[in-house]
Amino acid sequence: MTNQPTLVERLVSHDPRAFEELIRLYGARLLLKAEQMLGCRDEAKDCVQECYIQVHKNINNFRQEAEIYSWMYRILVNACLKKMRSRTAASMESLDELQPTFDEDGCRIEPLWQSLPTTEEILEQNGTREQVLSAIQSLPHGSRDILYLRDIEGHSTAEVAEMLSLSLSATKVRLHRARAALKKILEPVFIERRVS
Amino acid sequence: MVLSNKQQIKRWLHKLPLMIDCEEFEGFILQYLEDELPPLKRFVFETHMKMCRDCRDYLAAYQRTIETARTAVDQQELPEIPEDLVTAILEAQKASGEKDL
Repeated sequence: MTNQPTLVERLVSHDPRAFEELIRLYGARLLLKAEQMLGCRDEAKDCVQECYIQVHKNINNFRQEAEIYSWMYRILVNACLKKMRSRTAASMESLDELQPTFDEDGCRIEPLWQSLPTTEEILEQNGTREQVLSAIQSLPHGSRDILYLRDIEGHSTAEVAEMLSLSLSATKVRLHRARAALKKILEPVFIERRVS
Repeated sequence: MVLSNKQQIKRWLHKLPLMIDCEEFEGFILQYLEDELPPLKRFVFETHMKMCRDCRDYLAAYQRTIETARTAVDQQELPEIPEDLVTAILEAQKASGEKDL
C-alpha cells in the first residue's frame, strides 16, 4: 500500500487540483473571519484572495509539521490588520449624535430600564442577531475596528493600539465612544425585547 | 423647569466634596472597566454609581451591549464560499504563477 501525498505535499509539488481543494476547504472560514474583522464583504474577499496568493507563493517555505490553517489564519489576520490600519488612519468620523446626553447640571438624560434583558433573551428573538450585527457594521470603520479587536476578539486596549498604530489615549477615547454609540443604536432592540 | 425632590437631591449631592456628576462619571467609565482607576477615584466613581440609578442603568446597558455584540458575532454561521471568489483566487494564482516564470 502506498501512502497518499498530503494536501500540503500536493501543493508543494504544484498538483493543479490541490490549490482549488485548499480554497474549498478553508475559504469559507477565512472569509467569515475577514468579514467579521472588516465588516465589509468586498474588502474581506480581497484579503482572502491575498492570503491564498501568499500561500501559493510561499508554500515551499511552509514547515509541513505545522497546521496549514493556522499559518493561513495568521496571513489573513495580518492582511486584515493592514487594511484596518490604512482605513483607521484615514478615518475622520464623528459619533457625536450617538453619545450620551446631559443636562446643564451634568445629570444624565437616559431612558429608564425597567429590567435589562439578558444577552440570551435579546438574541433568541427573531432577527435580533442580524440587527446587532448590522449595528456593529453601521459604525464608522475606525471605531468599529477598535471595538471589534477589543470587545469581540478580546485583545487588551494596549494591544489594539499597537495593532492599529494608534496612541493608547486615542484608542481609549475611540473605544469608549464606539461602545456608547453601539449602545445607543441598540437601545430599540433592548427596549422592544423588554416590552414584549 | 420644575424639578422633582429626587432630582433636586441629586443635584445637591453632586456638589458635595468627593462627589461627581453624571458627566464626570461618564469620563471615568473606561478606566473603571479596565481597572485603571486609582483607589480614591474608584471610590468616588462607585459612590456615584450607588446613588445614581441613571448611571447604574447606563453602565449595565453599556456592558450588556458589549456582551451582546460579542455573542452575536461568535454565533455567526459559516457562509458558503462564493464561486466568484474561488474563480478570482484561481485566476490570481494563475497570473501570479505566470509572473514568476
